[in-house]
Formats: sequence, C-alpha cells, structure tokens
Amino acid sequence: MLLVDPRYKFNVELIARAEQHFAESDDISVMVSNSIQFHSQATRRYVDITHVGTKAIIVRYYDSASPFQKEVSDSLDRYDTDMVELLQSIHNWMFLESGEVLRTHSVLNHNFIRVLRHNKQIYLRPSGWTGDLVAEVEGIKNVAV
Amino acid sequence: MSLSKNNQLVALQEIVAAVEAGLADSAAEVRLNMVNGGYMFYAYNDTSKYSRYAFLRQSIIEDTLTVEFTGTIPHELAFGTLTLKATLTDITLLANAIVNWYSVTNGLVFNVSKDGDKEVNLVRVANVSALRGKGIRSE
Repeated sequence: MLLVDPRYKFNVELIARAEQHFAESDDISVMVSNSIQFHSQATRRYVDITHVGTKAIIVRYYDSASPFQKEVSDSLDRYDTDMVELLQSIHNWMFLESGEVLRTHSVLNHNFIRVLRHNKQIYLRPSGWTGDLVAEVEGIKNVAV
Repeated sequence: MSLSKNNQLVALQEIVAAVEAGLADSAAEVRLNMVNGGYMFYAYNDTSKYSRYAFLRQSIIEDTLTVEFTGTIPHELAFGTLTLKATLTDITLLANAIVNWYSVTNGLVFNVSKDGDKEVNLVRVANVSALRGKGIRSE
C-alpha cells in the first residue's frame, strides 16, 4: 500500500482541475519541481505555488514583462484553499491588463483585492484589528486607509 | 487545446501511479513524502527491523529522473545505495524497481534488469551480510 503525502495529493488535484480550467487555452503551461508553476507564454506572467510546512501554501504572482519584475504573494491554509478560486485568481493574473482589478481568493474570510494601475500595485486588505481597509502600495504599508 | 505539462510532471505522475498500483496488494506500507529536491518513498518493517528509502530526484535541466535506493538493517549502517539514472522512457522500469525494493526481504535479491539498449545499471545483491563494508556491487 502506498500512503501518499497530502501535499502531493493537493498538487495532483490542482493540476487536474487546472487541466479543466485551462482546457480552452493553448497558452498556459504547468511544471512541477519543488513547486508548481503556471506560465503564460503570451503575457510572460507566472504563478509559483510552494508548500510551507504541513499546512500552508504560498502563492506568488510574478510578471516577467514588467520592468519592475512585480511579485505579490499570498499565504494560504492548504486545507481551506478553494481550488476554483485559486485557479480563477491565477487565470486573472495571467491575462490582467494594466488598470484592471484582480480579485483574488478569500483567505480566512478576508477578501483580497489587487489593483494594477500604471505598473503599480495597490494591495487592499481588511485590517485584522479594526476591520478597516488597509492599502499597501508596493509593499509600503498604510499608505492609504 | 489544453494545459501543457512538462515531461517531468508527466513522468512523475506516471511513476507514482505505477508504484501505487504495484503496491496495492503488497503487505509493505510505503509512504510517499515530498522532500527538498524530490520525492521520498519510505518504509519501515517492524518485523525485520529495517527501513528502506527510495529517493526520486527530478532534474529539469537534464530532463532525467534519478532514484537512489538506501536501506538500513539492525546493527548495520546501511547496505548500499543504488542510483538509477533513467531517461523518461524508463518509467515502467523505475516504477518496478521501486515496487521491488519494498517487496524483497533480508537475504534479498534485488535485480533491476537492463531494458534493451538503454543505459540502466544492473544491480544484484545476493546476501546482506556479504555487503557489510562493501556497499552494493553493480555490474
């Protein structure tokens, strides 16, 4: 009997669902080494998903075409990850135009919204303390509330 | 069209599926763990007091898969390491080697046969005690 690592099971299920999600696309590729990476040849954007410990995954969104090599990341609980939302988030990231809004998945009931505008990323999240919206611009916290 | 997968991913999924099928009726309880640099198959036999590992490494650059077999038995550090470096066409051979590794017993014969003209090591272990301090012989 083979007892399979839950992280491997997660990868297999995500890839299987991704095959369905991107069934109409001839642009997206996936590869696995120590992490799962989804690539878009057309937009030169990619998403890297890494397991951390036994429960968490980190999802990093990269833009190779950007002069700033943009990267944003989320840390998710693997067991709470909604794969449909995660794949939609990856899909949106791949084909997002500048100035559009990227709505990513829910994390612990917090809705993350990212806005790309003039090659700058504004990252909105609800404050864990006050519930107010906190904005981060390129990693500088509390620029706008 | 569809999502395209790299050779490594296709091979990995095929190997794990083949090993899973090969061990389905086996008494051996083998765990597959993700580790840094690859995947580790691991088993511990409480009766024979041995542990065995098969470390499946991926090389994206070389487009190869390598399996390193190591094992321990009581009062001996290890009885050898075998490395199979296979092309992606050796998936069945690799999967069978992993299944065999967990199926053989002490005083084992672990025989990975050569597959046509592909470059695969042939390793034969006749007797565990003969290996002490010598490591595995490969031909």
